[in-house]
Amino acid sequence: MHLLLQTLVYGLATGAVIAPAAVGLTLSFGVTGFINFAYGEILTVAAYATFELAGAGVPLAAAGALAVCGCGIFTWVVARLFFEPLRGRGALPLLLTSVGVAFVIQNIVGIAAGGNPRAFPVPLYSPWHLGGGILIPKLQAFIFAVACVAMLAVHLMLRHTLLGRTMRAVASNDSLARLSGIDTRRVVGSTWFVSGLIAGLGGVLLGASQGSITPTMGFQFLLVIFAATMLGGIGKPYGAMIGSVIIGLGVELGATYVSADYSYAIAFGALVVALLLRPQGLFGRRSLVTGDIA
Amino acid sequence: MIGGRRLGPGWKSAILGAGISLFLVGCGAAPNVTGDSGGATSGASGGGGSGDLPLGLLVPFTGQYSWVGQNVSEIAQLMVNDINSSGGIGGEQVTLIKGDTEGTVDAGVLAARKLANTDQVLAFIGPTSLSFTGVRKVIEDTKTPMVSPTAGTTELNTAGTELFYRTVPSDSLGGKAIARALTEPGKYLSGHTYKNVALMVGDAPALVSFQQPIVSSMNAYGQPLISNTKYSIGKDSYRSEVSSVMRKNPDMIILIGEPADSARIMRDARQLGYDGGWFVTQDQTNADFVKLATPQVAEGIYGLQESEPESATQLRDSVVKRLGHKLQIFQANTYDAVNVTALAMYAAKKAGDDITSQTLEANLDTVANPDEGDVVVTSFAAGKKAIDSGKGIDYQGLAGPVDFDKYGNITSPFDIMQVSKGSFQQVATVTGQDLK
Repeated sequence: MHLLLQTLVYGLATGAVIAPAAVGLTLSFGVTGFINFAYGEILTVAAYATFELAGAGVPLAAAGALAVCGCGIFTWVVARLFFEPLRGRGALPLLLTSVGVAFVIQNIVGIAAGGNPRAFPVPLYSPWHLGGGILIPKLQAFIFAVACVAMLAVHLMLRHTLLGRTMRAVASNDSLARLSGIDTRRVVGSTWFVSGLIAGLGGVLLGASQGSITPTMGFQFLLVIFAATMLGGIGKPYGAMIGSVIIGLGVELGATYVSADYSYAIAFGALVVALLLRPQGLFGRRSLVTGDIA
Repeated sequence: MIGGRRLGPGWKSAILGAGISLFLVGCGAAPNVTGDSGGATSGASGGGGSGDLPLGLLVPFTGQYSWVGQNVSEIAQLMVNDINSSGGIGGEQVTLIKGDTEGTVDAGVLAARKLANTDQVLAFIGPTSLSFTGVRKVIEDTKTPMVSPTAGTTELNTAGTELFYRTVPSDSLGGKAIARALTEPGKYLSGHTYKNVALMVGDAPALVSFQQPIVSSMNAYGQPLISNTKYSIGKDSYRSEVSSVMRKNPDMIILIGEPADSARIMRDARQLGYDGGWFVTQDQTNADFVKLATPQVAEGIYGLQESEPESATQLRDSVVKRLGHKLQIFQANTYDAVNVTALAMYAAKKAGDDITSQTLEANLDTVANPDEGDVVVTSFAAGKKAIDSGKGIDYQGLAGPVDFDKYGNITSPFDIMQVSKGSFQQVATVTGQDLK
């Protein structure tokens, strides 16, 4: 029982790292209808920006906040330059462009920062000891709290702000939204920005959780983000949150109870089974890949 | 509600395809997308008929092991510039042509085929253990010799009595040295005794290569491991894996991993309350790793590195000065691989032969291994001078003597290092005799 509880704690911690990134991805898909394969690189850029800023003497929290804001702008710029001109020209050009953009960003980061891993400047903490020998790693608890606050912020934005309402309207039917007087272009731009902010937060949390960063960290993590997104039902922020927790639990349970070298295989095997049984994801509608941002 | 956005068949296919590609990338088997393979890095773009002498740098330049390519190519380029500026090989210029293995078998095979068949390189400087399984057949098919500065894989121990050479010792020796040190603490570990030794090894060919030598050596020395865990590489956390190992109450964990994972594992273990020892391998026994893991976490850990001969100290200082930074992982081995290859070409040329893969290979043993009356040399220029004066040479380089056995392996004593006050310090040496 102790082992199970401990593993569940680790699973929640892993899910908390995945969740913000998965929500950002699914949010942008919900509004733009485009799955951005360069999304992982936003995480990388955020982690490296935090690393560089902290190295320049900026306090870590401020460095992270600046990096998150910068990633919002960066994502908006990348989308305006490379993705928006291709919208409406089919899935494949956008897909290939985003993969290309991913590699370009990855290589630029590699050239600028070097390919060797770097230590993310996050302090070490000893864990809290709960009864029964259960350990709560402090850093992961902090990441969990930040992720929860971020998810709450996304929820409040979608529910209670004009931007959230217009995002939902555009996602539901952009033609109708346009006829209703909504500036859909502006909404899409705002969505890219918000998505970039969340991805930036995901990158900072990923760097903090890993304790080290590499130019390929975001791209490698993208598979996990996709898994959480698909499991929750693509385009569904709340589904992405739940999907992240399930993937996190799956990875840790697999590592503990089956085999450490098959932890991902076990988690993704469960994902495949879940999608075979429910192709639209746990929270998706049949035949629609949509997001109940509401 | 974000409703009404239907995922059409195009998107489904695209996502499926891209997802598979990502998975393959994650598994380390993606096709070369960035396409660095084949770019000449020095002089003209290679090719056997151009009058140049092309060597193939067959290492990862992209992917998570791109740091290997960066480290190797930086010093290889420096060496080739030296060789060419000193008149080349009898007037012919050496060129380096990159083949990006991406750290995978599939990409390694493609890159090796292109280098051998299209660029007609005379030899490979590489590959790494990550790609050797596939590249081996290309080497055998094309009869292109390899001199690897990075491949410690035990697959190479008896891969063949020709074509296969390396300037880095086998993981078998490294694993044995670790086991030897841990089972004779009074001799090697300043008296610190570890009774419950666990092993954690990353699930990648280059890492797993260490597993069996350590397991069998620990058994042979009478102290079996209490736990032997293989973990998935590239995970963002290793809390569950570390917790599983910690439940066995180890007082020492031998950690075989790539630097980023190793640092992550050590940080996770520290944050979960592990206060036992660590023993890491050559890839982690350097200042960069201490910085990566943080000095706080790395303090006290043991590491392994090939012994640096005293004779190489001055040479090392000179190379470090020219590079403008301390030597990175595999750079000393690359220095030796390029020099010994170039000297073999020069020896062939001086013997009146055309420089081909065959004549190059035929002279590798000649310039590297000691014979009576040989002059010991540590650089291409010194070797060239000795050959010009009609003397035999025994190349001893930056990483120590390069004396190939019949399978092209080198033997090296190992230094046991320990982090003290934030940097690795030597605490003992495991000699070649100790490893017999």
